[in-house]
Amino acid sequence: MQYDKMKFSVGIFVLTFFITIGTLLYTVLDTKGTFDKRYSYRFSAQSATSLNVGMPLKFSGFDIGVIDEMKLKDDGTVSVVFSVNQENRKWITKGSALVTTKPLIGSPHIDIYPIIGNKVLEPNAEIIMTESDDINDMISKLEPAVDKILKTINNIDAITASIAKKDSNLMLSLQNVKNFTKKLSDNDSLLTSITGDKNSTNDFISSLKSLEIIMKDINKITSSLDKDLIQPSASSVKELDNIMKDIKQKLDALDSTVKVVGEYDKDLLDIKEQISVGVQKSNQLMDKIDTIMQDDTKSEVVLP
Amino acid sequence: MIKIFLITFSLLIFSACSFKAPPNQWQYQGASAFESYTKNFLNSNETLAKNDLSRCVKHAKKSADLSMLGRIYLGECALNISVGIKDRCQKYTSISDIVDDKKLDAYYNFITLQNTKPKYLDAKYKKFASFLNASSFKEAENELKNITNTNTKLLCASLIKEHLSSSSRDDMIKIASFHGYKKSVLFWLDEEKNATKDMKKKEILSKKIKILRSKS
Repeated sequence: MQYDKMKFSVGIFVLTFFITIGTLLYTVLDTKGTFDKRYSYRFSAQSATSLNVGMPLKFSGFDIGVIDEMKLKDDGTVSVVFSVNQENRKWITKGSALVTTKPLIGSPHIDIYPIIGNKVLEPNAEIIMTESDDINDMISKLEPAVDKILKTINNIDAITASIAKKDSNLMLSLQNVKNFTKKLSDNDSLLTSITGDKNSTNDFISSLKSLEIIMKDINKITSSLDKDLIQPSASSVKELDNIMKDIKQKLDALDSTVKVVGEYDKDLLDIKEQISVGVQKSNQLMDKIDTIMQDDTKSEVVLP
Repeated sequence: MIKIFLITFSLLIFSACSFKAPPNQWQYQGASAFESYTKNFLNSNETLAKNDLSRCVKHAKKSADLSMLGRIYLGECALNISVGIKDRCQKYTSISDIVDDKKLDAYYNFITLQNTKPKYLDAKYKKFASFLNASSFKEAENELKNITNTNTKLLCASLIKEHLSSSSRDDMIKIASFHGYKKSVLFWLDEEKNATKDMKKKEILSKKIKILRSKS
């Protein structure tokens, strides 16, 4: 009799347990919206790269839908089907546009831009989709700047090579200066020319003539510098200035990205902390289950 | 609907309250966590094993009696040795003076291949330890067949791995494979591969190791 009563109690307990589990499961799934009616829409993409089934559709940062299906069409494009629930259906209006965003940091997602006030689209309607590629955009923006830098470096290289040539105006002038100095130093009678020695005076005059030629040479170089050297340098400096401005703009853009990364770091710390709490909670749960199912004979660690 | 849920939930709470936990609950939980650690470690579930180990250490550190902590450290060390990981049981040696347990000291000497006193050892190791003390490796290898506990068998085999015959190594591979102890399987496959001179067998073993180590 006692045994039957116990069996009945156990039966009731087991029944209650399963009913509770079922109810809990249903409540959780219901809250998650598993049983909600979903409305499907379509869009076409050039490629399925960075798209995948389960990828979220966001509106104002909120997940409102999810990609359910992707198919490769005969013309090589990809047909994508996504769905939203009743509550979020209102955002899929006539004229809505989808933008696939591939951020520098974080997983790609699709943003929906509805025209609020327009009529809600019927299920299975097609929506236009465009792609926004943050990384590639940034690289393509930097490309002209890199080209300019390379051009400037090539210019400077050419100028340096031109100056270093043996027959370059600068080198020839230096040679003339050297000759003039040599004449002055080699002629011991230069001092005597000041006192009226004729030969020395002739030499001095010829030296002055040389100096005149040199001055002409220097003038020539200066004008040549103006044309061949200073002008390209100025234009290069100008170009560099433009490039630096361009780079500054890019850095400003990057700065905001870096700041966002900083925020992500904080988010990651929070997530890490929450995961740690989750692990601790699950450990506590495991301990409780162990307590319920424990073998009373095992209170000692069994060594291998 | 909510009413049903509340009633059943209350019933569950009442039934859960009828369980009375013993006061030394930490010991049971520690032992249970270590058992889980052993399985996960040998099954190569690294993350779960790490969590289990920290869980049982946490339980063991609830008491001033550190013999359980000593057992956990020794158990961890023994498991490492059983799968060919070099371990000198430094965690245990750092607390052995305050644990002061002759049984644990004997076990420590046993697994680190030092001369041990078999009388302090558990019955399942006694004979094997005596052969090991006497360096009678052939007898120790035969004694392996009499050890029934799988983990003990794998540990003892690893202690005399240099002196084992190919058939014994194959036995260890079979036992570990049967239990799904991936770490032990890999260790013994590696041992067999290094010991065998049969090039074809070597090639097959290498292929097996490669497959087991690959994630896909």
